[in-house]
Amino acid sequence: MKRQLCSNRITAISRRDALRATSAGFGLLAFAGLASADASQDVTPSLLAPKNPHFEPRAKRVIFLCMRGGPSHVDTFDYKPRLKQDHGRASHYGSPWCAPHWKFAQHGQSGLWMSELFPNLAEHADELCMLHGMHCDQPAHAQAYLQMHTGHFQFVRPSMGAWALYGLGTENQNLPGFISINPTTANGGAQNYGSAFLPAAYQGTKFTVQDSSARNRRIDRMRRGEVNPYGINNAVNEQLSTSVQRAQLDLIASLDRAKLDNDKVNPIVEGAIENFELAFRMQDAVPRVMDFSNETDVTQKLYGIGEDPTDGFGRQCLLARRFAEAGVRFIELGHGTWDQHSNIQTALADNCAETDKPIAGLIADLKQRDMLKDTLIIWGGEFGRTPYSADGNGRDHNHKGYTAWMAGGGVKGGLAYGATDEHGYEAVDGKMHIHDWHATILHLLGFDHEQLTFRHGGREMRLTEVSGSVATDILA
Amino acid sequence: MWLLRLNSRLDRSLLCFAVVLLLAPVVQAQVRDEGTRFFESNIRPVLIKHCYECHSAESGKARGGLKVDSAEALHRGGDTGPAVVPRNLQKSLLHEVLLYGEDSYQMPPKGKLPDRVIADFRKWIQMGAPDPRATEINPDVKTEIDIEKGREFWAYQPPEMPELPPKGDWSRTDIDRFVAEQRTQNGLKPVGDADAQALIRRLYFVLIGLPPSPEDMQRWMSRITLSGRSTSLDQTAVADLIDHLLEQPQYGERWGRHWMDVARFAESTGGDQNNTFLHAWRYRDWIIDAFNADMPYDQFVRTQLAGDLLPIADEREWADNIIGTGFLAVGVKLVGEEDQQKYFADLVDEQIDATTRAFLGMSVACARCHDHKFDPIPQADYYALAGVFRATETHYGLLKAQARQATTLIDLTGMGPEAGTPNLSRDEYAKLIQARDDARTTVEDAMKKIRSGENVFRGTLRRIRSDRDETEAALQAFLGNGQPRVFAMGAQDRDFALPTRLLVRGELDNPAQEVPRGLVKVLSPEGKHTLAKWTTDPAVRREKIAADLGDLSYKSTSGRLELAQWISSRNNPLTARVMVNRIWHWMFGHGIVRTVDDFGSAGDPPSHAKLLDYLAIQFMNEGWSVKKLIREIALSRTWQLASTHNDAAYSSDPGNIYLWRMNRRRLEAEAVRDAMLAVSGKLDLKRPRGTLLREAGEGNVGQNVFEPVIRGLDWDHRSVYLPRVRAVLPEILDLFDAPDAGLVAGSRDSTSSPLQSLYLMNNPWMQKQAVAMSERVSEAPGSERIRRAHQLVLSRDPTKTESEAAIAFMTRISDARMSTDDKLAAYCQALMCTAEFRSID
Repeated sequence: MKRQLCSNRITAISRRDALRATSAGFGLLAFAGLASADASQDVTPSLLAPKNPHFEPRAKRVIFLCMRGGPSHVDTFDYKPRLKQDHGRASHYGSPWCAPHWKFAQHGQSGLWMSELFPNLAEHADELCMLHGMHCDQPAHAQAYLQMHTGHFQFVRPSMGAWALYGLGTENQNLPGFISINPTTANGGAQNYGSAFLPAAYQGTKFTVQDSSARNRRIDRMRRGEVNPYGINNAVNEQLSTSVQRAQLDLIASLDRAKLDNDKVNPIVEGAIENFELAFRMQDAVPRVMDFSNETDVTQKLYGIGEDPTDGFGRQCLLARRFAEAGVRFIELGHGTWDQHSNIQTALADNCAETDKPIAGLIADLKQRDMLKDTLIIWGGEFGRTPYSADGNGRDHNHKGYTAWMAGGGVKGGLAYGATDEHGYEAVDGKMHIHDWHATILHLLGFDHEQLTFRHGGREMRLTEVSGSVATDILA
Repeated sequence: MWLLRLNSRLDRSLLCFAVVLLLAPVVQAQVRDEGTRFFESNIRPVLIKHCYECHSAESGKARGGLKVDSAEALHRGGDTGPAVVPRNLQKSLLHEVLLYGEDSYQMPPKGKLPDRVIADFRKWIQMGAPDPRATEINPDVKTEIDIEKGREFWAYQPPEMPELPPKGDWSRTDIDRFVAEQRTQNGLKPVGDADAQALIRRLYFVLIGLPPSPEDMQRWMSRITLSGRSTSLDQTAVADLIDHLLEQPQYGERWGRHWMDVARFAESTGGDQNNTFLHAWRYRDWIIDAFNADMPYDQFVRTQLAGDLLPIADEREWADNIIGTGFLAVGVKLVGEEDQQKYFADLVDEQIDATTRAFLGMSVACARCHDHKFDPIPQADYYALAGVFRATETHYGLLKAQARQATTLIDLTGMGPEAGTPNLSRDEYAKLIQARDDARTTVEDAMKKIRSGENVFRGTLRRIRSDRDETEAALQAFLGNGQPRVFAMGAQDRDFALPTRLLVRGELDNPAQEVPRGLVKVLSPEGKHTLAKWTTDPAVRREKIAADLGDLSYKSTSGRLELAQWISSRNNPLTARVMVNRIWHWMFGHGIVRTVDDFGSAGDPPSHAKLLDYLAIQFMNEGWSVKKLIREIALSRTWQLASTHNDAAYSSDPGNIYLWRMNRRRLEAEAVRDAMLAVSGKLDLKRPRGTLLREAGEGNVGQNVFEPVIRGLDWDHRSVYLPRVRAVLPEILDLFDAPDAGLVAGSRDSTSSPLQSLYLMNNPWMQKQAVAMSERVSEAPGSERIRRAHQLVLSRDPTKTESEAAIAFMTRISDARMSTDDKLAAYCQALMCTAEFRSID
């Protein structure tokens, strides 16, 4: 599979070849990984080895800030003066129009409109590319959430992180290339970071970071399980020396490989082979990357770590930066829920207070490390919320028009792209369907979304199915 | 027990609520005017000034579950009963609390109101508590769903026995004919049959969730293999093996666990706080026993929904049936909710969701706020079902001081079910009394302090009250002679049904038309979906007789029995289909309808529609016997196919929809753990008594259960008996995708992650199993050890390459500074880490 990668078609046969190639060099590869701190070293091509995309990428990695539940666009980023005028008047959708509960102002040189809910983020307005014309197919959480992650809500399809990893490989063989931090078990659960028909090596790995912001503290106590300074359990083997463990893993690999040779195609075994190797290397790498002790107080403060209510999401954001630095290709952070059918005045404010400073901190930190230019930050939820409201303090699901934004990674900053109608109900201009959004993300990573395919069930499958067009207007 | 008292007051409050609704229209206009004036000038201002802050929709607060901002809310009252009962001062708690008595609540908290004001309230209540603040009723909500058109959808059509396709060369059983027909139509050829070794191992894992021991394997190999040819099998012997396995108690543990996924079984509330359900294990054991006894599925359904209402021969039977209704009680609950009415609505919602998804593959709960977006389920259908569950009382226990929404449990002491704890000695019982008395005294002392004007921290008060209730509950769990009482979670009918209104957008303060109790329209004959029709219509009555309930006059107040009958009826187009599809899914790893919990239009259509109908009808004809269906499937040639890869077939049907081979599967979390214990020889097959959570006691997991203990629990019983606290699963179950029991989950994720590998490599429990296994292996002579190890873990002999790899490994680590035993253990662990060990081929 040398250098015919621009088609990115990896057949079953060549996958096996790759595995054979990898496993032949197991010992060597692992020791090399141990010896070198950050392994972007030249090793035998594995499924996860760095690969060149179709053209020069603008972004080398993605940090996806996934706001589960459907954040209200008309209260945050999509300024609708008309909504204020029409407040309380009957809309054509039953309930009366409902003005935003917060004040909007223009920010930065670009004069982007943002509400007072994001005071810290507003300072980076000139980095943000607002996508006001977002829309998707279903107003139900599970379906929309799955579509946002995989392009589909009816069939099990690979997550966009898995596609990114499949296309690009990863730059650090000691860490998973696709990490999902605090993913939800709802809305399709693991499918949202799954690899579906792609090889299991491209599946996202779940990390759990304690979310100790005030509101989550109680829930968190019961969810986190054993407190572990390394962030993951079982990172240390108390019984075997490294060399004995290495021998043991080689034995496991040879047994698994014999099974795979016999079975020809067996994703369970393939996944296991990759995962044991990765796990071996993670024993060393993960505790290091998750250890914040060498981060200065200034940096930690920048993310709001150690403060209410930003500590929880601040930790996630700082960890995302550390993963990004370490060469992880696709990092997703989870925050929720933004599903404010009622009590929007308190709950939305809480959500924003928890995330505003950490996100602003992340942008600032990436910028000062000169990483923002090739790190694509994406913010968004599965849909937005209605500009009307029955009781004035809750909004329903709205998949017809809402806002997501991007920053860094080759997008124009300070740009308001696309628009909803005068009330913020339906996307009318610069419309961006989830397929378009995916196409654009893949483009920024250096792919023609129509060419990044994988043969399955007699068909060349792709993230964007049969549609999707790149929003070229937002490219820097 | 005071909890009991509280509960009966709650009943009364509901009763009064209903009476008020019935009487409301007869109030005379004149009296109303005078009364209204009095209310407006003397009562309403006081309520607004002194009460609304903590008890109104406006403030968003309902302390103690009470709101005072509508007539309805006052009459309904809060946790401790109705606040106002017109013309009855004794029963009107509002009056009592205003009086600031020693033993009652004292309201408003800032100080007693002037006597004149209290006199006004007295007068007002005696006037009949006139109150114009009635909730406005919305105009009737109409649906736009065309039910008749909705009926055309395949899943709502009754299954029909399809014509059997021709036998052909390949088929052995009827199932094979359906599969072969579609497979051929899709241009696919089956791979070969599984060999005896693979088939035996598959049967063990699929049927009982454990690997065959080397001895089992040898015994069955010799019986099943014909004339030494490993692919020509004696199907009579295979049938014997199937029957043998279905008779093992481990079968019920394996398949009962499958059902627990569907029943979202767990032993804690899992909501805003995570209180333990100390008695949920009875329902767990009941499920296991039901599978082992092969309880007919229709009866299984009826018992879980309405066991308390079924005809019975004796107390023991009633007690068992009550335990079955645990289905309705084990769901997620937000027991910290202040607003009683909202809590109740959410509880009912959860029951509707679980019931319709589990038994019907329908998502009726989607229609709580609006008509269903995909399926022909109008909002009114939801409220028709809600009426049934609203007439039901759900008992799940918990302590009032720890959870606002605690309830009583159902006491089954002396009715037969075994106790969950051992008897107490005289000393132990005396200690419990002492502990309770001490805790009581502490609370009394604190109360004295408060009365004498001293400050007591609210947190302290909460803690000591919680202690008092916990010690009281601990004591009440035993009879005076130290014998444990038997409690169960479950459901009971209320004395009468509550009127149920459709709620616009699902909002409690936004009612529209009253909806009569009933069933899902699209599944009922036109115009016959209401409960009233169900009990009077002759055709429907015939069905009731067919449901084998004996006495026709037998009916429930709630309508739950009728709901259970309707679901478990042969005429319900979904029930049998949904269950046979679940069984197929558990046998093959995929359902005929892949979305096993959703037979609606957002779900997948069946890949083999005729086969699904055949199985459904066959299932019902065979008395809804799960074991018979499993047997029939396991004997089919389809199920006995090898799992071999085939390039041509794989490229056109990679998902194996048309069953050209057997699916390869990773074992479920419980089976991974159980298999390890089986191999290490440590597995304890005895059923443990009750639940380990008993040690933790009542309360929030965060407070009382040391989470790491559960996460890393070292216990040798089967995984099905491990504590099942929501969000705090034992680590190995969590890593291998055991569901969190938030929702009905008939199919599981099967992820593969490096975190699993780290567990297998480094976790001390895992290493302990390896050591135990190595001790078994070292019993064999040196030359036999590799073979023995392979037989234990993989149920087969090692290949030449595998033996060489083992020797190479031992040689490579020969210099390591570790004992020979430890080296052998490292080898055994490697075998337990192989992907083959955790897969079914």
